Amino acid sequence: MDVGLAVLDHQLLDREGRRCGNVDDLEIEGGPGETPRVVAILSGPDVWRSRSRWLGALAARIGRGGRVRIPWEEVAEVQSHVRLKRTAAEYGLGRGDDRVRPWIARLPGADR
Amino acid sequence: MKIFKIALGILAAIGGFVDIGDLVFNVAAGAIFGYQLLWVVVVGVVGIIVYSEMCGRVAAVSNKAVFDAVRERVGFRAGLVTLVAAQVVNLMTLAAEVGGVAICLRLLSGLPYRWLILAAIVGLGIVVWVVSFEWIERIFGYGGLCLLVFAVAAVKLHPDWGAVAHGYVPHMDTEDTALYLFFAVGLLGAAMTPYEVYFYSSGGVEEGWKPKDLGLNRANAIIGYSLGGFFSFALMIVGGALFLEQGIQPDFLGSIALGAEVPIGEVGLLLALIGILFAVGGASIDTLFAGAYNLAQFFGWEWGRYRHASGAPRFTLTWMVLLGLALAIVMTGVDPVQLTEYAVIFSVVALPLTYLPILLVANDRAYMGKYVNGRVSNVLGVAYLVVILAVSLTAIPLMIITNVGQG
Repeated sequence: MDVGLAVLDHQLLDREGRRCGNVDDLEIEGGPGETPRVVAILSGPDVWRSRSRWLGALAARIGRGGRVRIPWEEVAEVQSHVRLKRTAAEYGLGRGDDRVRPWIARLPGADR
Repeated sequence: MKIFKIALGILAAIGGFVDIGDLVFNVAAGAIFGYQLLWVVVVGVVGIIVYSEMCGRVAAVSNKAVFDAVRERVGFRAGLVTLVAAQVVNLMTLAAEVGGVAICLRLLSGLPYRWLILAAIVGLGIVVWVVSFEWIERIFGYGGLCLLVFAVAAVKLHPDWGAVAHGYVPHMDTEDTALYLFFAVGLLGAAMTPYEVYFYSSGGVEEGWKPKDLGLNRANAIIGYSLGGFFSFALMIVGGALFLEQGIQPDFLGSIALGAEVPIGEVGLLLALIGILFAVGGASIDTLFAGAYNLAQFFGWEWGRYRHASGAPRFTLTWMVLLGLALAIVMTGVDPVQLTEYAVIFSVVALPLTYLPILLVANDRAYMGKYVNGRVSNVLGVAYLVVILAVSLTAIPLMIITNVGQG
């Protein structure tokens, strides 16, 4: 199976099932004649620049940059989502949600 | 218990179907063309049933909502274009629905419009923040049932039932082909508004649907949207039997409510206004969440209306920002009915980009296993995609030719 095509643009879930970004790009190795293989998942706003020049760059700017490289060995399971072996925080994923959380949590009833 | 669950789902589907777009386009189409365009409503209702069922099935089997599928199937670049288009249309729709809420409140209370816009926004924000989603669906679903008054009105107006029946057979009895086509496109767009599937599929994922819930999904889609279509028929018949006869062009939401007052009296007017209030209020909440779902799914954020607000921070922030933007748009004094017309026509343009990825995922055996599209779903799915594509290419030209239906 072509793993690359099967996981690109899929949802990343951490060990606890938290949604923590998407597979924005893949790092692929393999010289001429070799079978290419996926060595890492790339995720984060900075990766969007290479996916779409104008809108992607704009989105990356709004998303305040950042890119995370996750070695393929960290993938626990590929189903309809890509599940990782550790928590989002350990990879530095989901930082956008972490940045906004204190502001939302200040509102009464936010933890209901 | 199961019957109860089905009833709730159906209620939600009705609530999600009848919104300001349906109110405006059905009554206006009736007022201009009588019952001639009833068949288009049937086409639109079958279309939304086919694609909602598909979205619900994809959600139940693969846990993917619409914008997960969009991004996976068309990639980042085309997906981002789709997202931007969907968000623009969705914000226009949200603003139109909020404007509709404010108009209903003004007609019911007589207070100044701008204050009521603010009241509508604050009220919606509080409802979403405080009331559980189960109850939101019940309150707006039951409230929206007041629209049944239009069915009573349709009967009391004694329409020519032979002409009504003839309306279900595609035909065109007018010189103005462009205007006829414009309304056909608008009615299709109003019936198949994309926020319905965004909301429906995300709800399926949130409620943790599994393959065993596929029966429920099918029942919700078929019965709920058919009943929604029934309301549309009633509105168009009222438009034809009352406004066409009297030569009135219902340019205001208030004049739509008159459609119930003339045959039934003051109670009819009151029920119509309450029904419209709850229908557009419920649709405001659906569109509000649809916008937040889309953004969160495309970028992989945590999302969910059943989560604590701090469990899905960017999702929560997004709907708050959308509510603020809607407030700013409606406060400019733009006419919600006109805004609705633009929103529906532009949404038609964005439809193929929404529905194609769904059709692709629903056909992917790797995700769907034995629940992939059967022959009926595929024949209908492809047929509708062709219709949608044709309609989306003609929507803007028709809008320009007919001056947004003003002739």
